[in-house]
Amino acid sequence: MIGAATITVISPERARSLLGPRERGNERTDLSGGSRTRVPDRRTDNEALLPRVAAGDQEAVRQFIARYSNLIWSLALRMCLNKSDCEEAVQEIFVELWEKADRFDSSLGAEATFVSMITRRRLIDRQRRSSRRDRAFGLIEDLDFAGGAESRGESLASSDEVNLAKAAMEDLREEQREVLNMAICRGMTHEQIASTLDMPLGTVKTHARRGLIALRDRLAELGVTGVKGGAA
Amino acid sequence: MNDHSSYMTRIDELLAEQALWGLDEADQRELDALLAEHGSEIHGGADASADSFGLTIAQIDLATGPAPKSSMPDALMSRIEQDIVNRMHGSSGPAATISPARTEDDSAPEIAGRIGPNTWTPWIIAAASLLLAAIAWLGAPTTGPQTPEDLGADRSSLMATAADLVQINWAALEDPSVTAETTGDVVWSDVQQRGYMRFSGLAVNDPTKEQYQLWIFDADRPDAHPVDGGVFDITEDGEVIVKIDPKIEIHEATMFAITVERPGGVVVSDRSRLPLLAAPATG
Repeated sequence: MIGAATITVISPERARSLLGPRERGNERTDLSGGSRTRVPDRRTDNEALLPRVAAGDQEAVRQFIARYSNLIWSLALRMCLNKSDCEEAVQEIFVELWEKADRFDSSLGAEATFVSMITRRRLIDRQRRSSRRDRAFGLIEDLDFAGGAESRGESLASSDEVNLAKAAMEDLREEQREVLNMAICRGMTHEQIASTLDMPLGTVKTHARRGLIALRDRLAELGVTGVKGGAA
Repeated sequence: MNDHSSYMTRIDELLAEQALWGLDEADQRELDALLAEHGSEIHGGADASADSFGLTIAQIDLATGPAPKSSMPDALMSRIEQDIVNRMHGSSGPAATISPARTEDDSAPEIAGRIGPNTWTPWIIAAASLLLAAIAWLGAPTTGPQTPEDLGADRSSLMATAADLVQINWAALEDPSVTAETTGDVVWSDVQQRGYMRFSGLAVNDPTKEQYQLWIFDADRPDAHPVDGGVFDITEDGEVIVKIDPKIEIHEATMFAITVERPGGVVVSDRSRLPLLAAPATG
């Protein structure tokens, strides 16, 4: 028996009021202002694994590594100096994803989108720490640009989301699309893009910034991503 | 363009560039200064705004990015899996669940899930053997399983040393797992990031069907998103002490809640079964 500790019965209503609002299914709040947003069909062939990873399910860890190895490997090849650097980075990234598994929020994007975001951030951090921004163009000879995302595995993102993202990219001004394509899909730095396009560095940055802001706002309008910036 | 839209546009530009390439020192200083002054005016906060660019880039990459010509090496995949499994079995990390340590046999922290034996490579087994040999030679690790007596002593030590100690009795809600005889409390220190729960009369659960999960409410976080405090089982009647295992730092604990969830716990609880709550008295 536990000393003086006693239990008080309180009503469910009182408890709910203490606990605040409950999560409700797939409904989500648009962070730009609290309005409800249509959610595009995010169904893929696979269930999300991160909740199970966060819960300590080791079989889910194995499945998670198998499912996302190509995606993460592809990003690392674009942004690392050599295979050894690549392998070290990929290991760091998977550990970080495991550590942050409980932060995945399916209302803000598909699991693959979360994985890709964490991966790119870690790779950028590594680049900046190692002062390797003057590197060659990653290991792009190891990448298949012709096959596109389909050859990496369509099930990572729903066809609905892929089509909307492609359409949003097509809607950009040509120079914005070109700069962003080099930065995102080829992992090129702004210096490399400026040199390749023979364009002033400031102009490259301007195209990239404005293009990405336009893409962000468009994808949020379409409900592909659940967040949109701007003033409160 | 007025001043407000001007600096909000500038914040967006810098966050966009940060997501694409990272910022140089001068731009990072400028962004930090702008966020310090105007960050509260951004919808959802600066982190959400930064995430919006990260998610956008990720979405475009998923739709249009290239595929590797050859897959990630199998040896690397095995190494990564084993690295994570080892971390899961360690004393820290988000995946380690907690158990009430009622007897010596079941006092080891319970880890949900299974190890995939097909991925164990010989060198890993050899390394594990060496580690076990070293542990046997050096004695038990200090972070190993705790007996009920250890937990009771640790709890007493916390109560004696934590100047900021919070102690709250559990309040029972309507749930089959609690009765009029259920008693207990929670003690917690924000400074030490340590705490213990005591239960007596909380129903024994079948871990293959459901588990108890602790949620810690932090003053710095919305109530809709409490911190996962760990999954645990009640294995026997009588007094049980459970060490609290928050997955992330708690800045100012304001309330503790126990829910009943599926085995392994959940990331977001629907709170449909909420047997116990420890909240400070109000009014």
